[in-house]
Amino acid sequence: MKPTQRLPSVADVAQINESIKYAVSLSSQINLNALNSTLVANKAGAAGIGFAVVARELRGFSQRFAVEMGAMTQEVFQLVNGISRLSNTQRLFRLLQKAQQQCRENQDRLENPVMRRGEYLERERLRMERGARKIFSALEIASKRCDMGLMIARSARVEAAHGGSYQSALTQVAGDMEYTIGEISTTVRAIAKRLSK
Amino acid sequence: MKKANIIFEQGSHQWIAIARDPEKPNYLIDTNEYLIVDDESALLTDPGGSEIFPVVFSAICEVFDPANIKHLFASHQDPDIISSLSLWLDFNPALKCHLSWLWSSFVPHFGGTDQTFISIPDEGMPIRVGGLTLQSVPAHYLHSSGNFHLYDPTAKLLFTGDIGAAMLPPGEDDLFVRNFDKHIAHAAGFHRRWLGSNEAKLDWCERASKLEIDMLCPQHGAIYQGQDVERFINWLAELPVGLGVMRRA
Repeated sequence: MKPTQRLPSVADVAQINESIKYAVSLSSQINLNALNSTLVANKAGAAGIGFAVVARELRGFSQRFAVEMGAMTQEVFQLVNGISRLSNTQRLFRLLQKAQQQCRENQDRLENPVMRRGEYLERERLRMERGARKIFSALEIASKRCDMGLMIARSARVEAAHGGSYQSALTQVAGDMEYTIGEISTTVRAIAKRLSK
Repeated sequence: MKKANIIFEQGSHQWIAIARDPEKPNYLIDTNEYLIVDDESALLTDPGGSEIFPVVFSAICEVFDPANIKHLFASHQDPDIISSLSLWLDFNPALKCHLSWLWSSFVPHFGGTDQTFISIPDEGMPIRVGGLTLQSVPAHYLHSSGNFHLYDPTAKLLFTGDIGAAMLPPGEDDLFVRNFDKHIAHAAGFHRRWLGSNEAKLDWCERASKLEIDMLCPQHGAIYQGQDVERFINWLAELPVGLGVMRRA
């Protein structure tokens, strides 16, 4: 994944925000499934101990993921602010330049305003790029966390096989969690792709 | 390109009308800006929308050093009146913008800080430009609920914002009204729709008729001068406006 070259549009950011919300809702499903399956594993007694340990790890995954996505939502909000400032500044910069070009008299009067607005535009652009890179880095971490989550979910499936009379129920829920984490992982990668488009 | 036309001159006291841009895109309403100059100090009335800033600024530069514009006057809050504010402040951050107190927390969305605005109370107040004392004249509910005109008692010119405005068809681009009856047909629909209160209109007409006015200078269309000023005030007094007109329609 490469950091973004083109700055995202408001439409891009709105879509990214929706995707983050979707990923967070999936992660809360994991949390709930892991909690429920821990209760089932407890009923299985000694046969369910391994599964309960792995399910606890999955709950941890879900909670950490939600916290990280919450921080990312703040960054996305900053990005929306930045995009609207940048868009407004670009427009004002263009109008100032146009005014300067059209002046036959007193042309020098707009030199400083054009320069100041140009410098501000550049600062805003750099700030946006930094913001986008920050989100991108957070997405890379989230993506790695999802890979880890998938490994834990697979371990849950293995542990489910030792679940005695609860094997079938635990296998089912482990499969569901693996599928859901896969879905989260796909969503996170799609966000990164949209950001680097 | 807009042109700067001197419409009043007495020593260092001038009114300069910035009007008519034949290259203006049709989707933007045409506007008049007036630069009121006294010696090396000036006030610009309704400086216009941001999209027309380049033509307004360059037209002013032809005749006057824009660094000497110290004040902006916004008759009301519309974007074609004052959305260029941030560009004017880019040019001169010390500019003061006079406008109704009613819009003092709305217009900053176009630019400026609490240092930029001078709020005009409902009853109006004097505005000093160089050695001139201009008078902001209340015109509330006439187009906008917080609305002011600007009277120059020395020049006997009244800037009236959207009062007197006319939507002139292509080709009719005289700076002054030449044929009142023909001209007023282009003003009727605009006034009927935009003036919200018959009572406010009559109150304004009564006050305006007591002022000595050689030219009535609207923000759109042509300038009324001489007898046409009185004709316009009388015409407006008779014109049915406000919600009742909408209901009857």
